[in-house]
Amino acid sequence: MKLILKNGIVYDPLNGINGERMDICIKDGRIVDKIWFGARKIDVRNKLVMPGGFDLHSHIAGGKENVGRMMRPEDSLRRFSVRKNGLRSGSGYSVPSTFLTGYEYVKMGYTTAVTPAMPPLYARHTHHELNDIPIIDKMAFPLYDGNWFVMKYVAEKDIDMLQNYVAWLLRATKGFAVKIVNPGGTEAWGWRRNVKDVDEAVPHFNVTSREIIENLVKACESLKLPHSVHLHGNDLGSPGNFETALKTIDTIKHIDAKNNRQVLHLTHLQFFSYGGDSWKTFDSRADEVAKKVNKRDVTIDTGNVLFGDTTTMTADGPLEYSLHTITRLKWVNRDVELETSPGVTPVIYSKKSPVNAVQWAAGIELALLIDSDKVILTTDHPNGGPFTRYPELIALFMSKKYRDKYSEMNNAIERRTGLLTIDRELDFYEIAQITRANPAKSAGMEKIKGHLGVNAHADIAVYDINPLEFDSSDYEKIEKALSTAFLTLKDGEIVLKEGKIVKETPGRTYWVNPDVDSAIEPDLNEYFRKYYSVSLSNYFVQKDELVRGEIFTLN
Amino acid sequence: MVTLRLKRTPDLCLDVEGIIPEAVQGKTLEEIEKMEILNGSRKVNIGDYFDVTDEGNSLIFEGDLSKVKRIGMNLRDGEILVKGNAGMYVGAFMRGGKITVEGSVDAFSALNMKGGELIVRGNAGDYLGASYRGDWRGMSSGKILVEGDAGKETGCFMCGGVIIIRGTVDSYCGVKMKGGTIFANKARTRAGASMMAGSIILNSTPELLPGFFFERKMEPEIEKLLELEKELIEGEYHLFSGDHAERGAKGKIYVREFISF
Repeated sequence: MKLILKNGIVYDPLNGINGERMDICIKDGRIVDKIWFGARKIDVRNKLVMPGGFDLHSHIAGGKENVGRMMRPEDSLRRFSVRKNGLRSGSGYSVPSTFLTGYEYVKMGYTTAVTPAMPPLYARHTHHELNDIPIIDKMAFPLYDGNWFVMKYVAEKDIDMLQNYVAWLLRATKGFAVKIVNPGGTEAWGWRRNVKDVDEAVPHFNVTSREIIENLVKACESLKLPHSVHLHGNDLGSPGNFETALKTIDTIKHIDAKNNRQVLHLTHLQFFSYGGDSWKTFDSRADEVAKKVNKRDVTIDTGNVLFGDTTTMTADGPLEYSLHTITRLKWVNRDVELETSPGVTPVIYSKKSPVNAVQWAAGIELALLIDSDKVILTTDHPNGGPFTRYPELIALFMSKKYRDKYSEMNNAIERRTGLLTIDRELDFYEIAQITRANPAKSAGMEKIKGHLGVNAHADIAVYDINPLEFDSSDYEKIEKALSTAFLTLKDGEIVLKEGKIVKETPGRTYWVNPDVDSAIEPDLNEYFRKYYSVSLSNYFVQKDELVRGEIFTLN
Repeated sequence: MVTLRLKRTPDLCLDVEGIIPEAVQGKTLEEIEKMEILNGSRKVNIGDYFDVTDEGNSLIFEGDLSKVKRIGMNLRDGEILVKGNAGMYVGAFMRGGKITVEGSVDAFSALNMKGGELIVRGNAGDYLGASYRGDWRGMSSGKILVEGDAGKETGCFMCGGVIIIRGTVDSYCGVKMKGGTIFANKARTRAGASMMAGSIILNSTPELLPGFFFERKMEPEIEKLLELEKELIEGEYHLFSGDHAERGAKGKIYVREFISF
């Protein structure tokens, strides 16, 4: 199929294109230089054309997401869609069901999403859910944080075996990158304790959080994985945790980048940027965290908080418990054998609460203060707010007027954060960077995703707004235009037209397949026989369980 | 205004969500007959199942409507009269107006009520004035009066408003409640389980949960909305505080006498 998008105003940061009026030629699902004849032409004059959005951190499928759906039936009351035009029905506002997740992403012009915390034992479940998410391309990051194998090899300083295990687990779970959540803390939670600092030891394992991070980063580098370690550090969400965050960023000081990318990705950094020593003196230290991030070879995603009702879910069990003790709302905790312990609880971010207002402002501060080639936009869906509210967030980044309007609602924003002193407004080029180019580059997929150069996948979003005649004070217009795309193309096929989904295609699931040495097998056999409730042969997710699985390599 | 008389009992439940006074106002009878409702999952017209006439001075449903769901759901204003029994979800999510049911209602009536008035001359099913499944923010305002009996978990997660049951309320009334008042002439066991605040007035009940501590004997403080029930609420009551199984609970239960039944 051949297609030409004519006269659109294109933003493509990876190719340095900043608002140029040009044609985009698509042939057989890829972008090509030129098409001589036989192409269907679509005129998108004066419309904004960007690569399809790439969400690097969004809990869309897996064990705890499903728990969230089960424990919040009232959430389904807030949004539901019925079956029509060949589309499936779905429900859920902060925890949408699988089909609805795919449709809502496509509606916003997003074509790739990552579910960043897959307990390895629930890998099969996660992949079956990912299979059910239509249209968009997906990846899953298995969790390595409280893993007994990892801690054992780190304690023994056996880097080869660690590397071997990392590779084996990626293969076994059909994962894409290494995710660490509260390193050591989730294992300590089994003993009703937590790991609050990078140098605190994990109970019963002779390791510290710093050692786990350093060694996994090294293993990741020598395995040449496309994405770096995806880190959710220690002590999330508590007052004064920015110091831990600074130390966490410094753990990679001595590690050289071997691959052409960052060595560490810090996820939802907003939740790690707090000062003060209690909830009463809670303030934002986003400026100091931003300074440190700008200095080091890392990428970050913001994890913005938006006011409203949402569900929090992380693989950080102790955090969810402490949230539950504050809100006293329903709470679920899960223990995943040797691996991790996620939790789920609902949360309401209130405009009246000074703490929530500081969280809201800190996330925006980070996005505005960190170099725009390092920031990635997320809300840590659904922890800070559902992904369907990204347009609102983009409007906040782009319009100082909008931020000022919000800031009047709570004077904590003026007193406890530096948001009002920042005049910077992002433009469409920078928005394309933080939602398209940076995540694709950070995930190591910059050859095929996140840009509109020759040979890229033809995942394209067209919005009904003229970026050249754009006025940043008209934030409602930005929000409206970005929340419903005019056209979304996936692999060169039109999947959404004027806000309506016209075609449903199965999306790919990418995974990596690094080499594994058989030296790992005796250890695996022993641990599975001794501790696991499943046998080793049942643990492995088979290739044919992925509807459209694709092995991704850096070359 | 308009009377909708049920022609025959449907095999599957009818779902009349959206048929409220503000929707039928200003419409001709033919237009009302063509309004869409659901029969199971199938769309049908009102005229298929109801005779529409312009009798009465409010929106009136007539016949045995125990298989008709969601009467007066999302009501904001105006009056609805049901001559006969009604199905589930009567007055669910209502914010204002008044619904009177001359027969009985089924479960989930006045779910998450935010205002207005529901009067039931017969009995009510389970989850009367309760919160939607999973929600911890239940009925917040308004008044429910049941002249007969009510089912289980009446007023669960209630935050405000008044529920009056002149007959017997089944077990777990006011479970998890955080505000408002429930009055019942008789209550079966476990009233106010896990309640945090609000008050429950019971003329008789077999027993209370061990989380309730006896405070003193007194006459109950009666809210304005309860004044009509004055003749039922009289004499000295035993005041209990609780449910102390929850941290910081400030709920009150007044019980006149303990009788097994």
